[in-house]
Amino acid sequence: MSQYKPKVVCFSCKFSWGYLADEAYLSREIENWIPIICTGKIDTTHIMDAFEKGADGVLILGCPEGDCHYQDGNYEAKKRVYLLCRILESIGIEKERVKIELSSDPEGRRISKLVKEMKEELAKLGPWKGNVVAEKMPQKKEIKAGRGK
Amino acid sequence: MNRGDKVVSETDMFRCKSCGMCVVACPSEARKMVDEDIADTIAKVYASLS
Repeated sequence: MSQYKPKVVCFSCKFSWGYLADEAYLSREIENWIPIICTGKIDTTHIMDAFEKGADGVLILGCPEGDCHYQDGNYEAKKRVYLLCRILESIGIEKERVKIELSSDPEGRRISKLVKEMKEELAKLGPWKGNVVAEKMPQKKEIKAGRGK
Repeated sequence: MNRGDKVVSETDMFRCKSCGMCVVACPSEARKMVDEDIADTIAKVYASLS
């Protein structure tokens, strides 16, 4: 039996995470890493899309509280993650699959460590079963149709 | 500058004109920017997942 290897998509803010490191090096080092200019840009649909495409967890790394380059992008991301976690929980999916860390690491060394830690946690939870749950939900098509407004 | 001219601070520059939220966090503004900036990266990463 092959061993289950969880897939984690990691979004990180360019202003606090890895800005002193070589981006090409980090992208080789960290699997499924998406550097963005602010975590406030991350929409719930991006997170859900990741799960739909095969991710088992999503890790968001934002600026420390009160230090967002765009003032409150990290707070907005935190609010979205909090609400999403509550929704996931309500339909029987573990909230540990979406994590947000508001901190800073200019050299980006902690990113791979955090991804590794999350993978270890996800390995205990098993594969994402949200698609099975989503199939049973009648409003899935309506949610999709509302994107991009 | 004349008396009564509207002062646009740096703070205001980062705010959405319609809702006053941070431009990157505002759902309408952010959606546009995300689609332009990181859509390709997201698409590449997500394609590699499956």
